[in-house]
Amino acid sequence: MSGAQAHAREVIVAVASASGRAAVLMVRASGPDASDVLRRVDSRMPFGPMRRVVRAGEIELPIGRLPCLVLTMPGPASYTGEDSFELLVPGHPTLGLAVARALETTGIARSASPGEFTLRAFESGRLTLEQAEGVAATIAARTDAELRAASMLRAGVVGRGADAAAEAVADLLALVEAGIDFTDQEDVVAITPSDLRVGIDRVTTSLRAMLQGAISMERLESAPWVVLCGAPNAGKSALFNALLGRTRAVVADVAGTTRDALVEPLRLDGPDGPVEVLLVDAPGVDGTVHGLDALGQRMRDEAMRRACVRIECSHDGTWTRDSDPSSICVQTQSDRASFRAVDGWLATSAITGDGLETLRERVAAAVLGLAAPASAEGVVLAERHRALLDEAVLHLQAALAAIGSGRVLAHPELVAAAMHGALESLGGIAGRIAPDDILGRIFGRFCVGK
Amino acid sequence: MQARCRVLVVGGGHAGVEAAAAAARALGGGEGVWLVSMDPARIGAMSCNPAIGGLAKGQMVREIDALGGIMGVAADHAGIQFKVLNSSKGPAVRGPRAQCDKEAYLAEVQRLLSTHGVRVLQGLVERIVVESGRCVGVRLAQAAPEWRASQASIDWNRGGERRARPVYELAVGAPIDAEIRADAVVLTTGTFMRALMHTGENRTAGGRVGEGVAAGISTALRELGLELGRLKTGTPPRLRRASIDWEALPPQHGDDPPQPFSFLPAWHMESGRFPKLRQVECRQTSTTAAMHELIRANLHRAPMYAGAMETQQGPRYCPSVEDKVVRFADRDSHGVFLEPECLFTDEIYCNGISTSLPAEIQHELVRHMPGCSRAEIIRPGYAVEYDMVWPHQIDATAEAKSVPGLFLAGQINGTSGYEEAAGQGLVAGLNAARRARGEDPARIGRDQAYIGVLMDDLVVRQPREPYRMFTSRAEHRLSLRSDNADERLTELGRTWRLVPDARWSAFEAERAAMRSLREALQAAHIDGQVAALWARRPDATLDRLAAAAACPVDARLDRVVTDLRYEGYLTRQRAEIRRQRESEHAPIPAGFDPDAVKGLRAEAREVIRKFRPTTLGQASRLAGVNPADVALVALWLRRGSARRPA
Repeated sequence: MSGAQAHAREVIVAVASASGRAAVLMVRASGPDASDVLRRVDSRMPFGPMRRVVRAGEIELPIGRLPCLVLTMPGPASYTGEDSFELLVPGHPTLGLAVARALETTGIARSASPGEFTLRAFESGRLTLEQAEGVAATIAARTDAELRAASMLRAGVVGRGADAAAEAVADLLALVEAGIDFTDQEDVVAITPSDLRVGIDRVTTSLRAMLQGAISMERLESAPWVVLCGAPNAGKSALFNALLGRTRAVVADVAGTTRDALVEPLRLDGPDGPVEVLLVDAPGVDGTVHGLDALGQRMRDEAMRRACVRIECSHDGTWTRDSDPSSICVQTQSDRASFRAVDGWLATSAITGDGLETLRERVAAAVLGLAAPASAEGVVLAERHRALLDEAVLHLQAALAAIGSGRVLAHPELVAAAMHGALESLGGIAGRIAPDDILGRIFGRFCVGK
Repeated sequence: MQARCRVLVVGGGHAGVEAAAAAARALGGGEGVWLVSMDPARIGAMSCNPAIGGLAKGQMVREIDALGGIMGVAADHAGIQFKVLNSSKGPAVRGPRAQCDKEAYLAEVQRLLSTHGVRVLQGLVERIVVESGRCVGVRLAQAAPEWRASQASIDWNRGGERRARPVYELAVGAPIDAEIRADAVVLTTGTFMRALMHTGENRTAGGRVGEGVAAGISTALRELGLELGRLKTGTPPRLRRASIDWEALPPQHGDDPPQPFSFLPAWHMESGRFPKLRQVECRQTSTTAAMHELIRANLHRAPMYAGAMETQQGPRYCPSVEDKVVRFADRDSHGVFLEPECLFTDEIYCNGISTSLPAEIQHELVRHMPGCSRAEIIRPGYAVEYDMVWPHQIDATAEAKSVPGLFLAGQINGTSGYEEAAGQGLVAGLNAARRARGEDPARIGRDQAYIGVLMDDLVVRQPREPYRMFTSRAEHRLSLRSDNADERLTELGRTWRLVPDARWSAFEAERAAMRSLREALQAAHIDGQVAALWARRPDATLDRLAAAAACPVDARLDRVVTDLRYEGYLTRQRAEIRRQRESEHAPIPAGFDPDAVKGLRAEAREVIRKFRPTTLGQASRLAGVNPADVALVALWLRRGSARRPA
């Protein structure tokens, strides 16, 4: 590889730890602009060239800031020989993927293909060929297993849903392509913009329904989210800190102090050994909507969506709209003189520690009592699948936008480009649909040929 | 005495002609390039429909032109109706097309070939000579007489006001020895390899009516270890114009003013003007229920349905009228276009009713079409089946992987169409010349040209029918436009010595003019917005942009504005292309053994062994090879380069 090409290289990103439970999980990145990538997500990254350090960092995620350990390794004395960094985050697959996505959405990094770190390490002379081949072969074997898993998945609900969507898009695309490639054939009647719009709308709706009814795979296979909710200033942050046994959230007497969702792993003692959960302090919501901005609202919604167990916090036993019958109801600040216990609510105090042990036990019991899938109809989605479906919806929206308002498609090539994008995204879940297949659909439908 | 040349081209169809001309340009002169044809008077003949270009094909013609090729210039000289298809759609999918006077086209191709200085011989190849695994020449059936371009015929054809004459004539002199040695051989056998024509129960050996068959080459190729297949195609009957109620049928007009294919300015035309020939219209008619009934009643006499053909592999996009009636049984009419084949003869091409029914049925059939009740057939339609070489056995350079020095182009690789043949011919001729000079092979990427898409598709996919280009095959369709083929390819062609000085300076002038137009649009403002940005609005008009940039509303402005409008879509595509380039053209050596790569999966090994990809890009596009496999192969290749002395 020439120097010029090496220079044009992008930063590559991957979640590097093996799947399964681990106390910490590693997200790594490598490339000439690794410093820039890190700086865009971690406000604590110092300016200037990368230095070899280990330090605390804080990664900006849609659900809040995630504290992590940052290892920065400037090239050429790194694994890949390039500027690299590793982020050690709590051992939770969702967090790992979320961090990787945050790095990729900087726009100057992309997800690494299998074996790419090793290839770079070999190219820069950091690995011998034998070492590199060993690593790559392992990856190939794993990819093979993943492919087998993917083909099994295709028979499942997600696969069938994505397959159906891809089929529908391919059929519509065939009509658009026929209107491009066979307009010299009088037998071909190009699809009208309104029919196309209806067809794309239908696919988009079905994809959205899949996304909404979906349970994330990560939720099923990894640590459950335990979310503290309740009105602003209900004492959630104090309880959060008390349960963790250290100060993490900023506690103040002003309502709405917590603007960001805080996420921390918490280990509880269950009857059969330790239970790991992620404790989430969601920003409070009050009825008058004062205090919360749109970002906070989104993070709160995200936390609620992912919640397995909710802890409803209140001074006086008042429910909020986030409560549901399965919530654990906790009455806070039992140490106050004005405290009056309410029936059915667990009295706690972050200051005296009153009721915390009971709360821990009840959370552990609730987590262990969770049935495997919460809803049999729901589609189980891995984070990657969710991202691909999201992407497909975006492409289809772009296709709709390109349809225009005329009676005929003025720019079928732009509509087709967006639809090809959607097919490619869906192809990551369903089977791939090749150009030949689109042509086959045209030939099957129209009498093409002079 | 043994004859010797540098590049020997076998066949004078659209592939052979571009191959010989490209080789001559790349070698800096045609003295070393010989072309052997069964009938040199038929060099450049249009075997089937009388049109060049069309959707996706028009883009290829302009690419060939941008690389200094012959096809676009010849069509400009011979066109009798020019039309840009999809002109109401986006610029990326517009395809220029020209109906041509077939005789004028052939004559112009021969004239252009003669200006390249290529030596033309008449002969039939019997054997391909291979020594130490390399192709070193061919053996002809007998000593080959030489043909020369006649200046008298060229002069006769110049004005275009009379029927064109072929340019090549049998020359006086001793024939060339039957054994010809060459540094590289380009085979372009078209439909002539073991060709068999069917009209009803009648079978005639031959690739075109009245012409011969190349019987020996198939055996010769098999002996070299190449795997052959068999494809079929067909052609419709030709009608006598005077026997059609021509004026009663609805006309089809061309564009006014017509647009030429070539990027060369019009003054460059041999005649000094464009269009050179009188422009005509075509007429439209259709099949009828009675005609369909007659076809159904005689299906058993169609060779395809009677099981008389060796192959079922005909093109789905170009079905015979029998196929149309069977497959679309609910339809009682299909369109038929009547296209003049020549300004000065009576022959009308009957576009839409390719058939191999018996001649007497054809005579009856055509009379069921409106305006054709008295129609007479000059030549009946027929189906032709022929041998081809499965194209995964060539590289994207057109060179056979197992026989260095042997190049294949055109229908022999399982393609269909004049433009597809010409594109391959150009690639083959160029690389044959580079092989003769000991230079690295030249490759055209999928992101650079339809020709690149064509070559890549051929080598990584198994065709199920004759391969024809469609715009939907190109993932970079938005950048592969007919109007920017010169920008995509002419500079590249110049580095390969394909682009002569005159064309190069015309290109440089145009490029400079476009650059200043772009600058003008950056500097000008419309409604308080930079004109270059305003141009992206859906309601932007060329008139206002022209006024702002103080330039005429012309093709150049249209092209610059198109670039601006597609900009958003292209940016992402370009990033993708850059990413792929890292490995796209990294070569995989000829002797590569997938078993040597530790950890490569069995399926990937098998596919790689069969297709023998020559670049990492090709390997990554093979069905059954995943990214991890490609990474392993990439590592193995680095091992090779690490061991080679720097």
